[in-house]
Amino acid sequence: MSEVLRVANLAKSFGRKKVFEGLSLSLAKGKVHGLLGRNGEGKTTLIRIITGVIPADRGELFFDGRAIRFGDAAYKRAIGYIPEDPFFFGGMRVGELLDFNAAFYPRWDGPRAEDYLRVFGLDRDVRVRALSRGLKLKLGFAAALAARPGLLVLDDPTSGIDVPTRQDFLRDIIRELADAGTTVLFATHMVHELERIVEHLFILHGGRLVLDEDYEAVRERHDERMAAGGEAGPGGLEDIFRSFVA
Amino acid sequence: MFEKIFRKEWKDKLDLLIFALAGILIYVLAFLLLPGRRDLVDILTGAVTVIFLPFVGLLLGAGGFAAEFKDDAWAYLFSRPVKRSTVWLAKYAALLTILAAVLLLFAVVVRVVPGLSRTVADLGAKDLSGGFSLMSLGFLLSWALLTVGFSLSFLTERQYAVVFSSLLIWALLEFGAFLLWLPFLAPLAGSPVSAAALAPFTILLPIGLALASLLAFARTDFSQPARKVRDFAKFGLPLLLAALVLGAVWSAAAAAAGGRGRAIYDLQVYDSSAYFAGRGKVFRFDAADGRLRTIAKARVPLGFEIGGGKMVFINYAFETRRSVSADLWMMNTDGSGAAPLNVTSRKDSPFFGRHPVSFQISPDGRSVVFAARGTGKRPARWLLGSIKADGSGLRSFPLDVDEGYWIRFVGWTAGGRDALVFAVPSGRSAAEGAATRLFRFDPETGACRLLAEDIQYPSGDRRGVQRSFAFVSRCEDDRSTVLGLMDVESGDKREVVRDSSIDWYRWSDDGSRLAFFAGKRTLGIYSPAEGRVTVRRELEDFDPGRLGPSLIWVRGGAGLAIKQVRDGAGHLVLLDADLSETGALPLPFDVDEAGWLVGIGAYVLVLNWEEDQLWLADLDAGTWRKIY
Repeated sequence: MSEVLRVANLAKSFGRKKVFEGLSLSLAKGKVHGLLGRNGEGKTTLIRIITGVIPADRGELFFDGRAIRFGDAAYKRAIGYIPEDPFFFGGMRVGELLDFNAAFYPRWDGPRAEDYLRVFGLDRDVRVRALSRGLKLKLGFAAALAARPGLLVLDDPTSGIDVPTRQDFLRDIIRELADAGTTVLFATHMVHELERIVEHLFILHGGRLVLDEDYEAVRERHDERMAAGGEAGPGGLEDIFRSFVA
Repeated sequence: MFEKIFRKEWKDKLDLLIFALAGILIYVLAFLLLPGRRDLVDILTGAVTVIFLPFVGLLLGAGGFAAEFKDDAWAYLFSRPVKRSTVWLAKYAALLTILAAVLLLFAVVVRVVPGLSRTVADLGAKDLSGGFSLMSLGFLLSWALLTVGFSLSFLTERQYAVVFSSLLIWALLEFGAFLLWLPFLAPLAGSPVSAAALAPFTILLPIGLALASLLAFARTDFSQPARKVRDFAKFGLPLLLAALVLGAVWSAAAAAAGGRGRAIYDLQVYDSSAYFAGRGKVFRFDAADGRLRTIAKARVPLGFEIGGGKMVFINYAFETRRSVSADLWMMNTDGSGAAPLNVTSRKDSPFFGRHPVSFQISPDGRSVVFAARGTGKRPARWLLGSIKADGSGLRSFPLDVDEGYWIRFVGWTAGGRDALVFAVPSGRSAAEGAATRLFRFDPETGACRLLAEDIQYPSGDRRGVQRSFAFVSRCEDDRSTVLGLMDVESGDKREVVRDSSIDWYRWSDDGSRLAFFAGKRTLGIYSPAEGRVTVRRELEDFDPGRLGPSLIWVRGGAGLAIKQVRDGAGHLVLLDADLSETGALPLPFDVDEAGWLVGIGAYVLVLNWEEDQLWLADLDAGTWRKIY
């Protein structure tokens, strides 16, 4: 399977605090990748580097096999980004923001954006700052998905959202995207959200990637080890995560 | 993408645009509602042009990235497929066009509102900034502060910090350039330089900061404030240094090339020729053949006097940053035989450490009298002295007037024996009510006799030997002004005319008649021989323009010419000896730009002081020609 994105020997510090060093990973096309880590491990930092929001201190980035310099903009046309905290221009109206966004993406699907607005119950004339956190999240999805991205990057977008809303998103939207061949990178500290959708797993801990493997294989190995050790536990992804970050 | 960001920026800054437009509207209303309060209007005009508009520019720039800082929208924008440089340039372009709209509207308003353009022009900072109009100064400052503010605006979300930092940085850089560089320009220019020489720095320093901002913005980590500042400094310091160096080179080149114009320092008529000094040269215009000739070269020929077929002028030379020499030179009126009369650097010279400020050549051209005062650490006491045309016979005598006076020679007594010296109080002395004084100075003995006090300096007229000295004085009893004649031998005075003001007066070339313009409406000719005003004419609704009527004799005394505004345009109105109008020539430029007028035969020379040009009117042909 071809890779969409490859990160090689990435390093980043904020002042004297080293976030990570020598970080390398790749995203396979069409897969749902989960990026797990505790708060403060550098998930958001890694995603901001991938999406070109901030520069890395060292390392390289490749998109579709092409080396990307910080400041390159063209590759981001294929990336949809939904952040943890909605970061839109609060003074804009919903419709204005989508129209503003559309200018950046040649593959912008206007009718699709309108469909999302209708489905998510978003009013075009409401100012962004007047939206609730949940509605802003939905607006973020609309803005990201209407661009028909080849790679969708989500950075813990559902934290602070009520459980039923989170489950609707994870189950319906992301699975649908993955089935359509969109590559997904989902970063979260809420382990159980990934369980039903993740195909490849990254775990970030102590500034390093401590796991970079297909979830099925990791699950099988973990279950075998648990069974061999006679251990009983919650099982599943949460158990796996604990075993790597303990 | 550029267009989207550009339009978004316009929308975001609409409130500031409205604020600026409201400010301009309030200014216009104040102007229209305060017709009689010229002082207030002048203050308001200056404040709007050089404070309010630049402040608008600063606010626009300082808020350049305010929207992005709010709600961390910068992360949204930077995650879009758009280059950071595109974002920076689109925003800057939008802010520039917003400022341009404000400035354009102001310029249109100044043009359209009756009287406003003249008010702004009257405040034109020619004296302050060496040729910059008030509006161009205000516009330049507006752009400069917008650019500085915008360059810094990405560093922090605290707009007040950006505003103050921008002002501080801009002021430090500008005044630093002023203090460090301006004194070095004078030797290059050969004359004192004005603040206009700072223009290259005012342009290049913001450009340097803007380039640094663009380069840093494209590369920096927006989430780390300290890193943004470091990255900005990394590019900013070398670019600012480059801007300072380029600015110094630019201003030096402009100063060496003579700066903005080819200033005309003096204009006199002698023996059917007109003489004037331009930058670096002395010229003579001959009415006989209509040709302009260069008769001498000098570093800075500030002022000259002619008599007895000779010309004397001061040649200033800026030798170092602080050392200026001012040598007295003499030559024939055709430019031959030029030689210095004194050497300022000689310690035994009375000119050593002093500058000859005023001088006068004797009617026979054989000697020169001068007034000099100390410079630098030398006492500022005045000296009067004389020197022969061959440089010998140098004598000097202290003049018993306070240091707060400036001294000018204004003619000779009969036979050219004694010089007439005028002392005018300036600065503190004037503020304390010190009186003007007219002396009679004997260059042989140094004797100085007071002839009159409290009369106005005769700035508009020049004559060599004067039996009757024309003077203007104010009568406090009835608040009238008197034009009188004083016999310089006996000291007797007689009144020529009394009116609310004496606006202009001029002797005919042969000294037989004195033309005057008084009370802003009365034109007259006085005959000393008959002791009366022989012809008088009242000019109703006469508008001479801002610089006065500039009354002169033409055609060898057969007629007069006077400046007048007719139908909104300046004219040179021609009159015969009976003060009847014989014609009117439209001026080839604005009447308020017309400075000196001199008449040579059937020609009139007019100095355009605004453009530093000399124009020649052929009174017979009714045509104008620019000769310099």
